[in-house]
Amino acid sequence: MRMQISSGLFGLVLSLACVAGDISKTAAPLTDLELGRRIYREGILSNGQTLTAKGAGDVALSGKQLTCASCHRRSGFGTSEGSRRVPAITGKILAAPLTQTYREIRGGRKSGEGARPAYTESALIRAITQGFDVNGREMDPLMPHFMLNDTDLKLLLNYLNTLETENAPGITESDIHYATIFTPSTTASQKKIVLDTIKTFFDGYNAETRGEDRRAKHGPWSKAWQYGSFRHLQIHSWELTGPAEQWPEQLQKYYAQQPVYAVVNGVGLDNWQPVHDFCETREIPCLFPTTDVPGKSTKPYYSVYFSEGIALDARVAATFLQNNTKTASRILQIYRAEPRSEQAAQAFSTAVKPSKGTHLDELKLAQDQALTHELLQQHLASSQANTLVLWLAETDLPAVDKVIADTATIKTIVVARSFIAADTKFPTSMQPRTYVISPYVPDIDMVKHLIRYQSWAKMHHLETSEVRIGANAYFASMMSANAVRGLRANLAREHMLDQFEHMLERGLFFSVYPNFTLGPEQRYASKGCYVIGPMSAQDKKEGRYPKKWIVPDKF
Amino acid sequence: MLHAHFTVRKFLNLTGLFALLSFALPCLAEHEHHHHEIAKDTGYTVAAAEYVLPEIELVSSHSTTQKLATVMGDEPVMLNFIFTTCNAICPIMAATFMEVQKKAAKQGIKVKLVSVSIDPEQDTPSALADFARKYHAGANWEFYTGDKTNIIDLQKAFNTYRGNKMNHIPITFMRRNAKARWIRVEGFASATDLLNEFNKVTAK
Ligand code: HEC
Repeated sequence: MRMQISSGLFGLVLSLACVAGDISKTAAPLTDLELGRRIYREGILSNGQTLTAKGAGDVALSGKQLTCASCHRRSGFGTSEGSRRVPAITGKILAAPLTQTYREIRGGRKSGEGARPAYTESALIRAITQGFDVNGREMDPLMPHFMLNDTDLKLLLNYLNTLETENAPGITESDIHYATIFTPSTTASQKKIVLDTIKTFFDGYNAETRGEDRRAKHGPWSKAWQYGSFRHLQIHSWELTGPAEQWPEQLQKYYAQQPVYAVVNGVGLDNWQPVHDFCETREIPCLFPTTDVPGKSTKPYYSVYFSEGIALDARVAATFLQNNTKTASRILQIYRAEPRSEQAAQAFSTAVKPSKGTHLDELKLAQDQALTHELLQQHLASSQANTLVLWLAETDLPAVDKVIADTATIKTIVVARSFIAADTKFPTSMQPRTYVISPYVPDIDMVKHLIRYQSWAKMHHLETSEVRIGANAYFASMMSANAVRGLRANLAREHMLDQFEHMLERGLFFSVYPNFTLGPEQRYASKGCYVIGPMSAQDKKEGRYPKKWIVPDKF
Repeated sequence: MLHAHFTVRKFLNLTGLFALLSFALPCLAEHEHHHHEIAKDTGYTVAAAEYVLPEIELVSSHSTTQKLATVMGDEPVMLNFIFTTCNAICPIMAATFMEVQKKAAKQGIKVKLVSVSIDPEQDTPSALADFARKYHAGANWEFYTGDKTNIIDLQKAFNTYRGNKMNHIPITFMRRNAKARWIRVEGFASATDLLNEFNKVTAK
């Protein structure tokens, strides 16, 4: 039964993905289920027109501005904003009478609490179109009054009935299965750090839930709801091999062998796209992988990232330089034929291009080509650059030093922390003019910032040499465990993602990133980078780096 | 082991606490007082208040930087706090301003509308510009973002800061000019309600 539903949904998603954008071009007409879902999620009626409603008394609303899914969420389990609760409206919940306890647990609301009888079809239609609940109470003006004809109402109610299915794949009575994924470029020691970290965290969580199991078994009925989700967490390691074209098949195979509820962390520094596509099409939450090149798709929903990766570094660099066009008017960017470096260069030139008054030249090195001072000299002469942007590693810096040591024409040099090792000491010629783009907390503050992770890792004798890899795995494990704990009995994957949107707001979780927030449909938690400038004499005396947090606009 | 246990526990207790706090927080601070209240379950409340505006700068949806005092100006103004990815409350608040804009134009009422994002890192100028287009904002409706700490100071000044943007509540502020007191309308007032309150403010 369960498999039938999920494979059905899977087929639908694929067919929807093909028609996304222009409905009129589709050959096959949408099924009733697809039409209902389109009303619910996108606010488009069966005749292709936009859903309309009245809110707060006299305010005209359209499906372009909000849909049922905006408030009741894709999962149908509702949400809360401040003291206002949006109730769960899955068919199963609406069709059953609510007791106080049940309502509290299943997203009951503050106003108008109490028992209600089961909704009938006509009561539902009255709720949706006129704003009276099944008890005849006039509902919170937050719930709009929708203009829907009989056909569309039928499609919509039919869709609500499909919202709450049985447990998602990867969940059994006793366990929740997670996978962590490694692409071939991941080193053996990185894999070990990630696996050890997740296993250790999950073991701790599992040991702690023993008491909850007992309570669930022997407690009153309402406690079964509350403690129902304290299942044990299991982690599976999926290692990808060969070229990226072969990964989708490997992912399918792993998933067929052991379905998982979600993907936790994992490492794929230079390419995450195939995993991203897998998670989006199969509707599997893919939580906080460590990557510099996250996957892209229109409106990703299931993939949640620490940041936009190297492209964000590049946009921050562009923003920083464009605020200083007086000194940075002629830029030479140097990069290598290597995925991360290429992505940075591409994002940088897109971000810089539209601005007037900035000239951009490029030097692309072959994958195994070293930067020599002759080559650099030659390009500097032809480009007349006053600014260098380097998507290169610390091993390329001696050539830069040799060229700029006795020239003052280069006023500004921008390098990225993502390419340069933490303990790099810049040549003296570079020091007074070099700015480091860092998506992370500056290295000198990192130990203090990650004290909780460090002491936890130490206590469990875990390797902490690669702080980003380890701290990210720790963070992702903690988030994944807490999200399912918060869900109690109700484990729809979409509802888990809703939890994430609420969880990050306060600084209770620490990672290598300094500022972290998520919100509805936000999928990149860190939104800016530090630009760490050269130290003045005073800075040196006080042992601090001048730094500025920059959040770039879209270009 | 013990340590892991402790940290997870602590997190849970804190989330519980936040949930409690969001319910328990008094809606109005002491320096605000009701001058009338609509008792209806679905209604809103109105209170007059003095707010001391912080000396900060905001960044508009056109990427220009302006002093807060200039943004609020010396003319009749209505203010709300939104964020562009907010699901439930903000679309209604934005649509209400859209309706106010339309009705005010029809009735020849002069009002400047200001919406400030409480999620400044996500809501870059161009994100706000997209949002403004979605709600057909005209020249008299301006959108602002800014530095994270400035935006927190601003919310504190208006007693709307709830620590977490997801605990955001629907409130509209209005005043006649720079010397006048602010009127705080809390709850989902319709566009007609807001304009009625606004007419009272400007008639004084
Ligand atoms: C702007 C937010 C918002 C949108 C959009 C919205 N709702 Fe609601 N809905 C609410 C709130 C808030 C309530 C609870 C109101 C109350 O109980 O006073 C509610 C209640 C309901 C209820 C009654 C549930 C119960 O337990 O009594 C139903 C049914 C419902 N909504 C269906 C829908 C459908 C279908 C759509 C889309 C066509 C929709 N809603 C769109 C906010 C929203």
